[in-house]
Amino acid sequence: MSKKGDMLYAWTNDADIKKKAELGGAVTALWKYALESKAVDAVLVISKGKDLYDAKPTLVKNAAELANTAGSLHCGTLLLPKLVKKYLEGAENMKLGVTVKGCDAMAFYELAKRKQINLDNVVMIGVNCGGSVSPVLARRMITEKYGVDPDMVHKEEIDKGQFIIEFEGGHKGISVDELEESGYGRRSNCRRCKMKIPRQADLACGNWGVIGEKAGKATFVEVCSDKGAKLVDGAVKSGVLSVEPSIPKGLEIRGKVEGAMLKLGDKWRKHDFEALGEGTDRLKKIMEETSRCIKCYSCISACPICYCVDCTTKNPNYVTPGEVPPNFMFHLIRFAHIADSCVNCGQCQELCPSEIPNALFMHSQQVELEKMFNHVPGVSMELPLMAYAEERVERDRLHNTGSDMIYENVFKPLNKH
Amino acid sequence: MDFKYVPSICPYCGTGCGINLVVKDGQVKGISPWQRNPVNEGKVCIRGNKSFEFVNSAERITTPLIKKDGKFAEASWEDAYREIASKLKAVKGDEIGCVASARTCNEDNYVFKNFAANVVKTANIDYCGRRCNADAVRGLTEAFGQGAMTNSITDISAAKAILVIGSNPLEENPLAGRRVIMARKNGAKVIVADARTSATAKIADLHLAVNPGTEVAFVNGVAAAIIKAGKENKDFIAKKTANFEKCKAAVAPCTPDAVAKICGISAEAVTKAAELFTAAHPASIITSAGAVSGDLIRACANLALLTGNVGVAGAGVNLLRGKSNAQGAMDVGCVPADNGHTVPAMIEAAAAGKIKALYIMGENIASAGSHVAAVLDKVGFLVVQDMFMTETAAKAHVILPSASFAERDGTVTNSERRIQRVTKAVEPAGKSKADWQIVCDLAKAMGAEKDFAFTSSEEIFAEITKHVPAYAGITYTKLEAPEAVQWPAAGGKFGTAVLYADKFATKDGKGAFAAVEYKAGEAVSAEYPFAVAAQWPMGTLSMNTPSIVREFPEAKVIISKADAENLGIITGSSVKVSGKSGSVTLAATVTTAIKAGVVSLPLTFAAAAVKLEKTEEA
Repeated sequence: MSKKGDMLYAWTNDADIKKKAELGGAVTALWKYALESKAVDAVLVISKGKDLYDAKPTLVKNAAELANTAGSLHCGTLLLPKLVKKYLEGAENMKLGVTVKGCDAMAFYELAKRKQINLDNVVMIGVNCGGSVSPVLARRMITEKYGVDPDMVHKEEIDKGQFIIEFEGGHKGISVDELEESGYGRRSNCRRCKMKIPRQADLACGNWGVIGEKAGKATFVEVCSDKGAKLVDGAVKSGVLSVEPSIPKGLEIRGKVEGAMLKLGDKWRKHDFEALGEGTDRLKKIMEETSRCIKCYSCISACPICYCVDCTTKNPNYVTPGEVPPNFMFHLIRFAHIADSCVNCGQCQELCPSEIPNALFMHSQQVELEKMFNHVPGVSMELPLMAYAEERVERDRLHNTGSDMIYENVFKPLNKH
Repeated sequence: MDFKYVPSICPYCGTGCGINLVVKDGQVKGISPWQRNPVNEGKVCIRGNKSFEFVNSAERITTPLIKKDGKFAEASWEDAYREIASKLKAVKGDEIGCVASARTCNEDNYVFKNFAANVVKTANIDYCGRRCNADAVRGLTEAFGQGAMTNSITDISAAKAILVIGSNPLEENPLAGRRVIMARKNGAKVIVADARTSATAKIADLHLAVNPGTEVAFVNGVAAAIIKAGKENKDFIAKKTANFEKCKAAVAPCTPDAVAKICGISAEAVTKAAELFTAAHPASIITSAGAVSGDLIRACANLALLTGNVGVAGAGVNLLRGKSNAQGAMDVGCVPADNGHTVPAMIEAAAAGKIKALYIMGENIASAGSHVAAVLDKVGFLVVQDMFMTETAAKAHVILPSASFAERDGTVTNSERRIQRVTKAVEPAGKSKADWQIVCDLAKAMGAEKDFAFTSSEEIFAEITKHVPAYAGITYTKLEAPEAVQWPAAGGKFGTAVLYADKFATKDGKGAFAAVEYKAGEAVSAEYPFAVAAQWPMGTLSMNTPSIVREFPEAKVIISKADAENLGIITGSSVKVSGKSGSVTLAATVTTAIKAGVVSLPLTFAAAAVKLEKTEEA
């Protein structure tokens, strides 16, 4: 019997999964068991779309289809929890298994604490993530830095600080540092990320720390919850998965890899935040960059903190409809509503058509707010001030006062007669 | 539960951004980014972000309609076809006009063109791009050999200098606008000539508030200043071009002082623009809806040839198109030969009783103005094929309901000649059908079974590649790759990103300079003291997308703060706008982002000079 806190090596015994999956195939095997045992109704995973660079969310209900979704895609820059909220009813009506990166796990927590996702119905298998690369940039990087036709590449991975490609006729690795020095590599939010092993998930899986005879043949699994333990036990019992305790040296190495990644995250934070300047310099920079905004609302559509039915950016008293670029209030509203809970998932920046470093701005504020209020987003169910109100209830309450102006209602700056 | 992502192409502008349609249980529930598409890398503007809304609109026309006693009655497809067949057979071919669409697929337009030529036998085929860029496309053909954007949207970011004229890409073609932002981040100098301080003008290094309608004078002035400074690319001109002397003579009168006077800017600004444009190579010229006439595009082509800015990435004359398939509709041949009428000529002929029937697919031509609307009321028989009850459809005798882009397969060709796949994600609303299917069924009902026996859009595309040389060698299989193919296909794995790398496609292989003289348009006068800068109007898709209507609930007249103060107008005031051809009452938006003496009005209000009267208190 496994329990929360266990550190295991795990591998599949399923012949089909073995053929396609990487590093022991434990994640795929666990999902197979979850589906077959009806622990979940469906599994939401990333699979290959048009090609290796096209990451596509896929809802799998039939365990036989799982093998096709195996393997990691570092060009997958998607954030799944917002999809669960928007399109899968926040897992309110189905039990859902989801493979998550650190940012996914954090976003799940933030949406759950705002009652937008029912985490009781979600099983999360976390995977270590050193960062992701935007697909079109990845292709350019492979063409220009590797001298390889990106369509000839059949596998890519990030290992030991290198981005490695396998292609017809060979393989080639270049250090991520070197790639990033020359303007390629991971997304900037990924560089600053310090959620490399997503322990908020029920299980945290990866290849860091798999050494000795199991190297390359097993997945490292950290059991992070009772739900996770139950899933592992069930999978072992069904015969699809085998486990053994990890060896201490492996655990140590895993810790070292994580430590090195966190240090790198700190380096990038220092680099990025210092470049922003401080105080009015920083404000000026933010105002200048955001002045290119074309108000596509993508940052809001994709943000895992945004869930309001009536977004304040659509209140004509604050932001004039149709005005492009919108006034700075548009961005101030986003900062005020999101910054305390920003999980640095990077979506607002990745999807910005005006090339505004939105995630950098929001993340830099989150870090400052965390220093002031000790609130850490994405790791617990603790609510920040801004999330205390249940939106619909609060809107109704405000509406009944005859005004929907939150400031007026909450802080009562004037005594009305 | 059925849940899937279906990659497709945004149905709005000619940038052709990739999107993922999010389909749940047979319904399009939203749009998700498609990061893998090379045009936009997952980024979209508000239109792309909300382009699923109209698909699910309750206003969709879902069954054929036949007008009886002034009212539409639901009809079967068979009855609708029978009605159309009998009415069209009763008139002669040259009494019929056919209007194709810049927002339907290549396959639709191709069979529509064949329907016009072979079934009703009329030479009167044109498409709605006539109102925007059809003449500009002809200008490009004459100058360079191909009627399309010379370069790629992506390679705009490689430019070191950019001149934007007659265009506001940040708002009109935002994901092409993004490339201007990227170029500027890489150090490019951006010059924007626009009477409005548009979103694009706001990011410019040099913004010149040229008076509307004087853009040709400005571009000629820049060319003249370059020649005067001896900065023209003599080698390129000698080896690759023809008729330079004609151009040189034509631009000579456009001295900085003369241009300053015409355009309402300083003489120094003209010289400065010339300096910035020639200071670094490559330099790109971007234009779009402002290039209505062929003159501006030829002036721009002159400037590009003069500075050797053709045939390399980051250079070129880049005509950004307004609608998703403005390029493709023309590529597949929906333009009249010499013996056929253009859309305006069809309207004129209809007014004179010479055109007796019109078949309009996917276009609201009544929005071109009250004169067009009045003619449509009088035309003997009007067939409209559309998704919505547009102003034009409301005047029809028979309406044929079209499937939306999400409900059918096909291809669209964006501004940069990239032919991309539109993929069926859900079943058509009600009884609606793909446009090609409707046209083919109608053709069959009129006895042309053999030539219209297509069973898929792919079969039609195969046919297109046999008849349109630029599309030769392209197949749906090749278009499966997210890069798709930029025509001409022979240029490389994904076609040709930059035209004319070796030589021009003109008969002599040389880039043709032209003598483009600035012709003053209708000038402002004491009676009509305000010059008009045209705004892009809301189209059929936008008007049926609540999130966009929320942003732009009604057309506005945009007035400078200085003029508004003089006239006692504030934002929201009701203002009567009058020109020679008529008047309209609109709400005002007062702004500092437009030059005094200029007002901005929807493109559909055809006047170059107007007067303003405040009609009531706001």
